[in-house]
Amino acid sequence: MSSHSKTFKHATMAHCPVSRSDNRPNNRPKNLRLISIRLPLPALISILHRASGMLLFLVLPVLLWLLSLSLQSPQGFEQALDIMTAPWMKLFELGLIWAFLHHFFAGLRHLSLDLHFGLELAQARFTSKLVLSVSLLLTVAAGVALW
Amino acid sequence: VVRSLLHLFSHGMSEWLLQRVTAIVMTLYAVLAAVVLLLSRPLDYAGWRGLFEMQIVKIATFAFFLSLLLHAWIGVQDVLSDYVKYRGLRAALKLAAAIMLILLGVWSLQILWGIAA
Repeated sequence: MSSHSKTFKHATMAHCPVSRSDNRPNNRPKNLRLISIRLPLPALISILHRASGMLLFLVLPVLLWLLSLSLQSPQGFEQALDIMTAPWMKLFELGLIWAFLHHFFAGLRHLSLDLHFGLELAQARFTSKLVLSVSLLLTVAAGVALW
Repeated sequence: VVRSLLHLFSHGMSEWLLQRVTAIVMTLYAVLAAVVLLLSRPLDYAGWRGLFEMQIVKIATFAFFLSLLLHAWIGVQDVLSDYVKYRGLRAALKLAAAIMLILLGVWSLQILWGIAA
């Protein structure tokens, strides 16, 4: 209960950066022009980090099953290879490879931010572009290797 | 020390720290695995199984799985807390995720140590 109310308070604060405890009239605009608000690049990296993490979480059972199958017997190994080299599966794997690479590099970026590297806006934008492009380029390279 | 530890574990710091420690363990494993696979290129069953017969590979792989499951647990909890508004549904989804992760952990132990050396 207490943790819930804490989260709620925190969320409200985030939407209201101007403190209203000093009783000044709130003359902030009431209608937000949603079209003029764009998602900043670091925010895109962040939301993709979450999405790719959830995707990787959901496919864990399938990946573990494939590992199990490949280690069971020579037949199982061949079967796992057949599954993984089916054309439509390759497409799915490419998606997973991108999710892994994006999550990996966005995570490394996160760790570097924790160490106070790249906190300036220009640097944050640059490393965001770096994460996005390196993971996409390596995904293309993986695609070439797959086909 | 006790007080600072209590502080650590009661303000979400432990999750924060665990998420980073597990990330570093997984990064090391991923880089090492990539190097080992590129160098040994296990193209058949014997080679692939031979890798996992090594005790060091079993232990490292289990350390990776354990980190992965803890990391996923914290991540999924954060995502569910942020996006699922209904308390009952959120609790049910968290329970389902916890059960899934525990079962995957047990399964990974069975897979790794089911291989006779």
